[in-house]
Amino acid sequence: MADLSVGELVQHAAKGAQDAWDRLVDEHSALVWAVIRSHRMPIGDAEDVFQTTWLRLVENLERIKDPERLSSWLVTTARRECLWLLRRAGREIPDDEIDHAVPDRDTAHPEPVDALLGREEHAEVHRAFGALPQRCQNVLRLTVLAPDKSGYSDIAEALGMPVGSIGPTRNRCLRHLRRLLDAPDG
Amino acid sequence: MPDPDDVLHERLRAMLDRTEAPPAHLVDAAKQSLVWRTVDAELAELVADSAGDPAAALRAHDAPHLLTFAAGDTVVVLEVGHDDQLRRVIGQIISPAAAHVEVRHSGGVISADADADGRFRASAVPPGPISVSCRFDEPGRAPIVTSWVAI
Repeated sequence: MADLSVGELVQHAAKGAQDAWDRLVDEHSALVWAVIRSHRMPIGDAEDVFQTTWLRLVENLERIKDPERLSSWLVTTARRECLWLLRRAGREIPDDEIDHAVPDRDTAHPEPVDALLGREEHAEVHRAFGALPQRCQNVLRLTVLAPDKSGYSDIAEALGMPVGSIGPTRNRCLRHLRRLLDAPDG
Repeated sequence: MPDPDDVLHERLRAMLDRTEAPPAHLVDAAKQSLVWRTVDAELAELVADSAGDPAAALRAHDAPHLLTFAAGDTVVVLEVGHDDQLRRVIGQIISPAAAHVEVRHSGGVISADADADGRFRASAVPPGPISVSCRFDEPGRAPIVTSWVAI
């Protein structure tokens, strides 16, 4: 099991192999969740999208054209579900307003996050990350968590940004993050 | 000397792993979703959603929410209504036929057999993703299962 490729895991899962399926979920959950978070949805909708994305994968295990590029399929499916739910609820936030939108749950309610952070090292990075513009947070979150390092096309798709802008935006946002971390008052 | 960008990248990953991991109960539910794998039914894809149609949304705010699925010549229309915190689903199979219908949701299955006119009804459906499977009484008609959709 350990040396199977993603495509082989998909094939095994399509035949009902629970261990292969569990590994697919473990390896891709953070990415799917990050895509959903970047759409800033109410928690109930976010949970629905997460569940629906995996259920869609179950029904499509035998139909996926390029199983080696599963992360791309998951990103596309999760994003489509997010947009569909947001449109249905009539509460889509236009891109150019995202930087000024309300802080997300973590920054609005710091207490439970503090418990998760534990070390001061993480807390420092978390504070600086929370101070970045929303677009920077989204690009960094996805470039850090995407398991597929073959390029930024999945991330561009997830965020509705041109693929050529992801790399430069990531670098600019990392520099911004570094400046915030280096600032004496955090 | 390691690339300072790589170092910062790793600090960021360590922080995100701790603060932005998907909730454990969702990961567990995702693992359990493999039980819904169906090998013998044809997948009916969502082809129309009244809530995603801006014109319909303008016409009436509280109009019924209609979801239309198609697999080959078979169409299934679901009308989703709200009963307090729960949902009720009224369905119509076209072309009409009696069938054993199951409304599958994250917590289990609700049986709701379709009459000879292809109508069925399920109440007290929990909100969240559902999928409807139809096994027809008519011999030779292939069973279908609708794509999962959150209601």
